[in-house]
Amino acid sequence: MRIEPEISGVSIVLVGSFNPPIFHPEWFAKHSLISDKEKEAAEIAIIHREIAMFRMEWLTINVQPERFVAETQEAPFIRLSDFVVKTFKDFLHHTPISMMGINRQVHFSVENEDMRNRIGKMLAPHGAWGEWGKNIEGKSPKERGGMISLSMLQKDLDDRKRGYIKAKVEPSSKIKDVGIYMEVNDHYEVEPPAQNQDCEEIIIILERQFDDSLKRSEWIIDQIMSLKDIK
Amino acid sequence: MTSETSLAANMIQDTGGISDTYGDFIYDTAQRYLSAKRRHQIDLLRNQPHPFNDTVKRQDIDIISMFPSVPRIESIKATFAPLQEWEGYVVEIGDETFVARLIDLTSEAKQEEEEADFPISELSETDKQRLRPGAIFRWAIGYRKTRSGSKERVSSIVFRRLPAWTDRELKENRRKAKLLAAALQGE
Repeated sequence: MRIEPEISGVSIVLVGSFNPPIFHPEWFAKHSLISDKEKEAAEIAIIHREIAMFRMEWLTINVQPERFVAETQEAPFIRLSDFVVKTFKDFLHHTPISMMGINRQVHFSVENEDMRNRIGKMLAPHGAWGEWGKNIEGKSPKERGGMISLSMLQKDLDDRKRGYIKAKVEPSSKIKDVGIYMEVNDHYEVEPPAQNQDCEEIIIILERQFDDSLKRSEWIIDQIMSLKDIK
Repeated sequence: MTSETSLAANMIQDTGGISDTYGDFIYDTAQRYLSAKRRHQIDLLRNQPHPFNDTVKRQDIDIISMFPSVPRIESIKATFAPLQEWEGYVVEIGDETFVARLIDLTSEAKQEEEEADFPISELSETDKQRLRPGAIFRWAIGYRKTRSGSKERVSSIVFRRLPAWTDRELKENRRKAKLLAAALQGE
């Protein structure tokens, strides 16, 4: 990416049928998916039949009956994929999983508010909003309005039977005035859930696609970062 | 919002069924979750007529505090985005260093082109246990940035934890190996 992100993360989201209470640091350590040291340092927010949430130095886990989320902000990101693949391929292979998102999120700075406003207008020109478009600008930079969220979707993809790529651009909530937030959701679906009795297909996709998915997501993010160079 | 509702619903099940009155339910919940001092205060209130269903009394009791708070994990304070990344495998292990062959993933190299020595002391305790000839790892260099604005150069090595081969994968690999062997013999 041409601009070094201020905050950078990757998450893997699985949609299926999960049993939250088993996702306990103790369980992961028992199966050598994390070390004893990592287990002892884990911060548990809650482990309950409806929700399990804990964090380790490099990993955050959030599990609900229909959703599993693993997230990291620490490179090398392949560690996250290896962790999820090993968990479900070696120990929880009968878990029905029908959808997966490999998500890349970054917050980056474009150095000044004018530049961010200019990029916002390139993505969502005020002119398209007619007479109201003139009012969006506001009377002073402090009162300036503009684009607050824009998502774009690609559906026609050769590397999957079902799914899409969705990219979202927003002003960053973490980097005041000069930051842009981008999120790319690389979404995969297997056959209709009723026919899907395990997670083998989705986990093989994760294993094979993770590196390429991140590369493509960063390439998409780079397209927006490049708008900063347009004079 | 969904989580809160679900938690409350399950708390009712945890107490062995839905309480007869909302007041009883709150009393039962308070007994389980509040401090001894607060429980004593509620005991006193309970001795008064209909204490929990009296809207005036509710001002004395912070009902919200009786429920577990919404689970939250403090946000991560640092982020490490790689500037360059390699995949490598261990060739040789010495007393203090190990030698590895590397593929530069950032430049999208297809085969190993570099060899490097790494100090074993740079590995985490967990990764030291995984250090053996042939072991595959990722090496990333970049900057770790904290929310407070500090920035430090970081080099991170992580040994890969690959899953076991499944029967289906083993069969597929054998099939491919046979095809390859047949092709080579045919040459």
